[in-house]
Amino acid sequence: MSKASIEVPRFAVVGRVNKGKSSVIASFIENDAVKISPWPGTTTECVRYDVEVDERVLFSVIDTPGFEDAPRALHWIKQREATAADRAQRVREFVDAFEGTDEFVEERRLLRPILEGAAILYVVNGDEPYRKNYETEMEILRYTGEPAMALINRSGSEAYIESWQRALNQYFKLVMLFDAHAVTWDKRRRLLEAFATLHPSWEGPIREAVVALRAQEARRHYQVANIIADMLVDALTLHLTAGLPDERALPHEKPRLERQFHDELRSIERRAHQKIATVYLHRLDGWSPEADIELESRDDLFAKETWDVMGLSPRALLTLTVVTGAAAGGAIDAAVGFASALTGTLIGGLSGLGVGVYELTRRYARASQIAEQAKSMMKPSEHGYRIRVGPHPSLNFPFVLLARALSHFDRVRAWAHARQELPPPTATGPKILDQVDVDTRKRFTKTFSTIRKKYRDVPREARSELRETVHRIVVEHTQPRERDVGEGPHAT
Amino acid sequence: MTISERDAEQGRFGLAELIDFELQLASDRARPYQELLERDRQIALRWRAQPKTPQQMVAHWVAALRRDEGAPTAGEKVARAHGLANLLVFLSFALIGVGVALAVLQFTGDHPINVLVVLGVFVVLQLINLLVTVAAFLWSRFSPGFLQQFPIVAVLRRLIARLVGPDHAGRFWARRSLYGGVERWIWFRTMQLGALAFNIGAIVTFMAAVSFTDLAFAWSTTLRVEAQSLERFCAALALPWRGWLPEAVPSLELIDATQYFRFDAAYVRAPPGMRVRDAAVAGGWWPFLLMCLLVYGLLPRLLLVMWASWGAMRSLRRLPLDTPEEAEVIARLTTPWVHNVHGEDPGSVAPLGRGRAPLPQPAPLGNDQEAIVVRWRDAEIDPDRFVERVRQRLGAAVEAPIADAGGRDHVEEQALLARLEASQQQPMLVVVEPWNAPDRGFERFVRYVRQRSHRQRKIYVLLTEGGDAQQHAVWAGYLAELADPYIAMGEA
Ligand SMILES: Nc1nc2c(ncn2[C@@H]2O[C@H](COP(=O)(O)OP(=O)(O)O)[C@@H](O)[C@H]2O)c(=O)[nH]1
Ligand SMILES: [Mg+2]
Repeated sequence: MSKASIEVPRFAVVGRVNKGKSSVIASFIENDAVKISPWPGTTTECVRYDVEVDERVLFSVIDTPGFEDAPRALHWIKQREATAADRAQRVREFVDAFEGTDEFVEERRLLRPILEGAAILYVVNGDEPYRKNYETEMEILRYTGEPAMALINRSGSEAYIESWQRALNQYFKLVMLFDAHAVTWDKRRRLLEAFATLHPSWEGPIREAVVALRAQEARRHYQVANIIADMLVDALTLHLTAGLPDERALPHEKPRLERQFHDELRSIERRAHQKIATVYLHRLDGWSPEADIELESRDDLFAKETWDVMGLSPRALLTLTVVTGAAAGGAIDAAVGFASALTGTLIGGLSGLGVGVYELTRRYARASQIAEQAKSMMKPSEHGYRIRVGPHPSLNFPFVLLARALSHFDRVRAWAHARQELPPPTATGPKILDQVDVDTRKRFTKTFSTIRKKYRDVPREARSELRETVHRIVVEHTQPRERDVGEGPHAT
Repeated sequence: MTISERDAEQGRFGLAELIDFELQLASDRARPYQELLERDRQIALRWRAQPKTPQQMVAHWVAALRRDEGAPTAGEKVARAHGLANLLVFLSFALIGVGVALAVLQFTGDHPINVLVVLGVFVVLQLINLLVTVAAFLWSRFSPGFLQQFPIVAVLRRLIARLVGPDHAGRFWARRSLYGGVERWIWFRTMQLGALAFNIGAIVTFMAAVSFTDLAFAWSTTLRVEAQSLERFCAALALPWRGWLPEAVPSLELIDATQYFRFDAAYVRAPPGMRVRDAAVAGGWWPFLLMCLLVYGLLPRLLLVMWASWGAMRSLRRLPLDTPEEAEVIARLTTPWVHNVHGEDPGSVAPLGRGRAPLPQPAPLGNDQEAIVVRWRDAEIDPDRFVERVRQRLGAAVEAPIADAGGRDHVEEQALLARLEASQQQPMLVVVEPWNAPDRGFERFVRYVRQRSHRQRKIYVLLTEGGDAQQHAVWAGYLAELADPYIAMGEA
């Protein structure tokens, strides 16, 4: 073993089979690739997970098979024990003695990384009563002489925690509660900080990892705010246009158009929620919120699309643009264009005509295919009546979207990687928006209405204002809880 | 290193970078977030010097992604197309300048050239044009895209769109509100560049005409204008250069002498003895006209082109880059990338017992039988109650003492094995706690019993209370895998 690799802190996660070792790792390093199942013997080989920050390994955790026959193993070791000084050597002999046999397969596999210098992270299930046979495992681990700490997993029921703590304190200098299914970033950070205390020379890399994780968490908050802000802009500016043969067709088409519009809104929300999950390295493909957002049916969702800007029909406007566009034929034409601009035409251009052309091209500009957009614009005049659905006129609806997104964020944040499914909504999530002060609310109302008003072309300031305000809420929500909640490592 | 790379190394953020940035954002929207995190952070890690402003950072980022691509990017194409368009504008307006100057200076020898026409075209009209373009430019601050109403801008937009494809151009224009501040400077610069070229063409033609032909100037108007008024007007125009270039200020005598009546085809007040077509006198106008062209035509345009170039550069450099998407890129570049590197977990999560015969329920044993009871891994039972239940349920007595296996002391298990060996056929009841998943220790124990004693000895695995359905299923599956017809499972 080279010196360099010894300096990378390594932690072997060990314990009885099926007590959640793999789950602890999955949640701790946010990795969905760790195999977890209710069936014993899922983990058959040691798997090392290197946690890298910017291409440098800062520490590794090793998933191991569980202890399956510890009393007999300890019996073997004890029979050969001479003095306490020999114990590590005896464990080594134990590992070597059964090499090539099918005896103590799991024990040998799990002990090897420890004998190579990994620190011990012993995992027990706090929901089960303590039994004295666990002492055989702890004893063997103690024999290796490597630094060790214990984690009480699950701890859903308080009933057995105390007896576990008393027992574990006998063997480990550090005992922590770490519920693999309820791991937040804060718990992960605490565990990492506890690691640093196990070995003095590991402090450096662990501290670096903590700093990186902190930065990562801050970036995630930032990213979530961006996603939510983008979603709000998309939802507030959403509008569909449809050509109808006649005005009288509208009442019959309204429900269909409205449904289409609402579906589109919901899918904007769904995509944003799915994206928030990816920030936390989760996948929610094919998922949609359990309860759909409620969207009221309103008449003012519909508006007659007015194409006649400054009294010019769409056809006239289009012809104008095409004429100016056709001038692209050559430099001479361009010259003619400018020459005419030099004289009076230009002054005329300042009045209605110019504004009209501007309006029209601005509409074009929303599509990537200018020509196609132009063609589709020709249609309404054939159809006779063109209706616009949206943007959604309700003042309340962006707030509902925002509240739901924040709640979803809280839920995703609480989603430990050991869990396959998104956990139910948190208690705090739905209240995040309620705690926002009046000033911020007012600011939101203003920004929302600006965006809705300028739905064709949302100004930069409105976008960044929204992003900043949402980000502030996200940060304010995540910070206080990180300070007051949670128990530190139990040192004895 | 190409020029564009070197520029980017210095953090140049020009039109090409802006467009590539925008296109990159668009294509990134479809990519998985984690992939972007990795890609961008690795780009940032390769930087030798840390860029300071967001614009520099984005420029470096775009440059790095370009390097990966090789071929000229859309942004480079647009920038090139824009450069080409500028060149075209320059050349064609220089030609127009030549043409207009030739037309104005047309001197057939029949009539002298009317100074007022020259001043009208090159000073008054130009000044009007200048005012209009500047006013339009200032107004475009409040109405992005306003400059587009100028035919030249509309033409160039079409031209550029054709050169780079409407897709790229359209996407950029669709987000006008984000970059409108930059766009207006760019178009304004092009417009002023054309005007500058126009003046250069006109001045060169004027100089050529003065040098190679003998021009005669006069002034005539249908209005009643006194020579003194014209003299005052000219003196006012000549104000900027009167002090240091008195030759370029027309004297009252010259003005007086060169009033011309087309009707008479004669200078009205030519001094006696002077030939009307005395080029020396009539030509005395040209230094004044040249200075007018330079000072009221060329100079302001030159200044405006410089101002517009500076403004375009500054507006690019000052783009806040603070919309959600832009901020996102900066965050990805600046925060450490935390990730896991690991091998494949070879474990299996497949359920046990599939395709095996289901386990039988424990059948009654009969009164004559005394069963051996084993507590597996310190399973807790109330001995009296348990004995009673065995008698009720299985109709059997329990042989004292109740033994232990898999517990802390392996010696107990060894003693039990000896007892089992002696008893051969006596049924064995193994009490297990359901949450303690079956393991290899258990399997080994059962195998041992089978090897050392009668193969048809009944083994009943009895689960204590408190387990859940999942844990029961685990035990059932595990035991079914043993494929031993004399093993049954029930409740303790
Ligand atoms: N409810 C709950 N279940 C857990 C927790 N940790 C592990 N499990 C479950 O316990 C079983 C075994 O977990 P696993 O991580 O594979 O254990 P290992 O054999 O020690 O690696 C799986 O079904 C997990 O879902 C926890 O904190 N809470
Ligand atoms: Mg495992």
